[in-house]
Amino acid sequence: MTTLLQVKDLQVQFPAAGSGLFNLRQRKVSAVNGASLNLAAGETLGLVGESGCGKSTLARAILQLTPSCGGQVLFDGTDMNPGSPADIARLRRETAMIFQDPYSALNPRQRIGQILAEVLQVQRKVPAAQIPARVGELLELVGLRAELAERRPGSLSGGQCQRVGIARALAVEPRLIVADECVAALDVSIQGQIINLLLELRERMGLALLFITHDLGVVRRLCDRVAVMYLGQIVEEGPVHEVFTAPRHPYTAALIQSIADIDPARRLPQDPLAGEPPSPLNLPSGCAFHPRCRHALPGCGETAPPEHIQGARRHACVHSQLPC
Amino acid sequence: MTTPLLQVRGLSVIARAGQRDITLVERLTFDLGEGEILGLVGESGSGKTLACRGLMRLLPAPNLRVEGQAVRLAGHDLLQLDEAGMRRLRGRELGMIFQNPSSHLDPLMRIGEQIAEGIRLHQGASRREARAEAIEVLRQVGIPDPKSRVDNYPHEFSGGMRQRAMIAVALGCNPKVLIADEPTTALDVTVQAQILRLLLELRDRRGLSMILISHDLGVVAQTCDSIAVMYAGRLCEHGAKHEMLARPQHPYSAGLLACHPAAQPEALRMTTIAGQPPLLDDLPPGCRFESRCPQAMPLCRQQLPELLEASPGHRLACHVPLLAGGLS
Amino acid sequence: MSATFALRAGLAWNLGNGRLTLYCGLAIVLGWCLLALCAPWVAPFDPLLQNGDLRLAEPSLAHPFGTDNFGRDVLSRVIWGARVDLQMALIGVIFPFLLGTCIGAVSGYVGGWLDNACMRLIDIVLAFPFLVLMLAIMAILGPGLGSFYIAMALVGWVSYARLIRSQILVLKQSDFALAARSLGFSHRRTLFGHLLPNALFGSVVFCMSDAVLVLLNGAAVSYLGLGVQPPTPEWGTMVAEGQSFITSAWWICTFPGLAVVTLAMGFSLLADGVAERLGDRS
Repeated sequence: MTTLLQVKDLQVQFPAAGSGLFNLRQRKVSAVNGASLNLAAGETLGLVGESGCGKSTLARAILQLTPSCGGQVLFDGTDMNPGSPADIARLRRETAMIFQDPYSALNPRQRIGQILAEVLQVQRKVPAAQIPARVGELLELVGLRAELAERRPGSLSGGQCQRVGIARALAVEPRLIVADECVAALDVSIQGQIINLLLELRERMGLALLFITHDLGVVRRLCDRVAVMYLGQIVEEGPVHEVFTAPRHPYTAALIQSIADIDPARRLPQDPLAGEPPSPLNLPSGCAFHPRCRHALPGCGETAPPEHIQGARRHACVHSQLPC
Repeated sequence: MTTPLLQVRGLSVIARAGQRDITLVERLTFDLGEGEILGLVGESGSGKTLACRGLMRLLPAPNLRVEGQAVRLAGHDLLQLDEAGMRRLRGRELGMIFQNPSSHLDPLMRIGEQIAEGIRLHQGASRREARAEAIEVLRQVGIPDPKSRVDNYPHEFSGGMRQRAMIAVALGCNPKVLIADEPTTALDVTVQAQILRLLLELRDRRGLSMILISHDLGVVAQTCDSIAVMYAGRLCEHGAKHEMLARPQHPYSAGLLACHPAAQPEALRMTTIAGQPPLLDDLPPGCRFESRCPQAMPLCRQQLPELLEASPGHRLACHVPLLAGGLS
Repeated sequence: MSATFALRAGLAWNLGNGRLTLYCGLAIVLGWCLLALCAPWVAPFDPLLQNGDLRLAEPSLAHPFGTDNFGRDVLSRVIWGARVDLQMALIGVIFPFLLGTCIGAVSGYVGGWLDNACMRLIDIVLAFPFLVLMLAIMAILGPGLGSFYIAMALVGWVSYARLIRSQILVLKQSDFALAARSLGFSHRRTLFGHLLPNALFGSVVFCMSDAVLVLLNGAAVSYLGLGVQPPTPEWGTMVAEGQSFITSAWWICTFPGLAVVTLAMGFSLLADGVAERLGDRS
């Protein structure tokens, strides 16, 4: 499989409230702190992490919707970071994003048909005369009735709006779709519908999908590979099945143990991972996870952890295997 | 058989819209024993939150009202009490914690003050006693260094700590029943595990009874003793946790279970329940789940199934219950 | 979701009242518009016709609003004056609205130094008392309705700019704005096609209540002699002229004054009604 997307050591910083007298000393928050990942064409990569880890920021920086301050983003071999206007235009024609809140992702004053037609028009995907037909096709592709083109987002359900969001992404005819927590706001019975739709589209169209979520259960069903993010860095990456059965990074292990399983025999940990992710304003020195890590060694707070690459898996920890 | 701590009989929440009455929660009936954690499960529109707010008579809009036969707690019938009587009960016998701790804690008041306020009100304690009690409660909910954190403001706490603080506020008055409305939905999964552990510990240590509202069956499976499933304002099924998870008999309960990402991990596609929940002002005369039910019979469209005891301790409202084994 | 359902059901009860406000306001404003349009046929007399014998006549059947000190029929002057005042209210709102919306939208969207510069400009304009600035501009441009409109545009745009800017700042962060950019829409399309239509709600409501202020401003400016010139009938000038006769011939300034009040109330009710209707839909 050809590599479609290669992210190398991406860094994104935001200005934060200053400190010191009159807030004059500018502080910067490192939302993404040297993240790297790869995505092949037609592959689904799950990006998991808790709030504040920077996964949404990473996704937006990859799509050049947020400026970054370091690192490379190679889309189909071309570095988009920063990219020339022609490169960015190409990126816009070949990638699309789906958002978490199905309602706020759509312009509330536009009808569904208009929303889709506008994308087709701006991107000149089809000649103007064929736009209405294509809109109908897109709606059908995502399982919506053609009459819905006349309605506004406010009169649709959450699941239907999310399908419209997917249709809008598909209108671009992308090679890569970034789905940012796109099922989190839906009921569990509707989540399954959207996930099945994504699975089907992936098979039919050979889409690459970067699926951002905090829900490990969904990742296990939908994704081929998973990347675990903590405080702006990818701490572990690998095939889903392997990472879930034998995690190598202590944080991944803690995440997997914390999943509330519907099998009551698989109990919650007696002694769950303590504390919470610290604020990105005060990143711990050395390994970002060491203050909460059960297996931390004295050196973990001083030097950044080394990266271990074993076949398709890699993780960044002082331990090459998870200590028992 | 000991009398249950909380007995709810026929609780309904009705909204007045123009000239019509719309029933949002219909004749909810259940018991809660001492030290029992009941999981109230349902999707959006099921009425689970409204039912509990109705129980506390804290409805969010003036056009809503509570009706019912009786709601018995600690020797009182909550439906018969006037507002002053309810106020004495709220906090002292019946506590509630909410989904988003940031919006349910007063941002301008120190945490210790918020806990102590309830203690002073319901127990008539002095400021010093209430403060000492607040520190103790903070310690019990697992906040490190409670003596110094008791004077912090909510914004100085992180998300998980705020949820713990909210639990502390609810516990300060020592209620017998705690209603937890999606307490971990807004939290990260590792923090969720901590909070659920805490709730279990509180039940073990204090004998606290709880109603845990959630849409996540996993959360409910890990913490609750019994599970009640609601759909479109009515209770579909209510039974012991193991029974409900292993052998759900209502097609909706079975469907909900099957939709969980962890169910049927080897299947190529996720199970879903086709269709959407009905609009509450446009309900069919028969079973509300009928249009989405794979087992529906003509009888289901015409007659609303009543909640009946299918086996000891297991109640079900269905004309066509599933036999053991779940959805075929 | 059932909780929001309940709230919406409750709102349905309130909506009845909102509609009443809207219709009342609309009725008053449209009533005046109709009167103004039909002035040549409805007004019993020529508003400029002076009748020396009938000066300061009390309200009677022939002259329901009496006559003024030049013997002109007050009723006719009030009806014809509606044309001028309505024109002032409407045009005096449109120009500031257009100018302010454009400046505010671009300023809010682009941000950075442009936004800072616009904000400082707004601060400067706001530092001057409104009427003082208007009169200064009109003094330079000369009296008349034309200079009134120019002065209104130059001074009145700031409120609209601030309103729109704050809305745009919020909407800029929304998901659908980000979606528009991720789909390759140009900044112009995103701002004017997507953000602005969603930001206009507050401004539209403000327009209606601004019409009240513009009306009163126009009357004040004309009262001071800088706006409409005599003998053109305009409610403000009529109140000014009738002032000296307030004890002897109260009808000269009372009826135009009442006209101003009713039209202002009409706009105000319209503003409230529109706010409730649009607010419910958003």
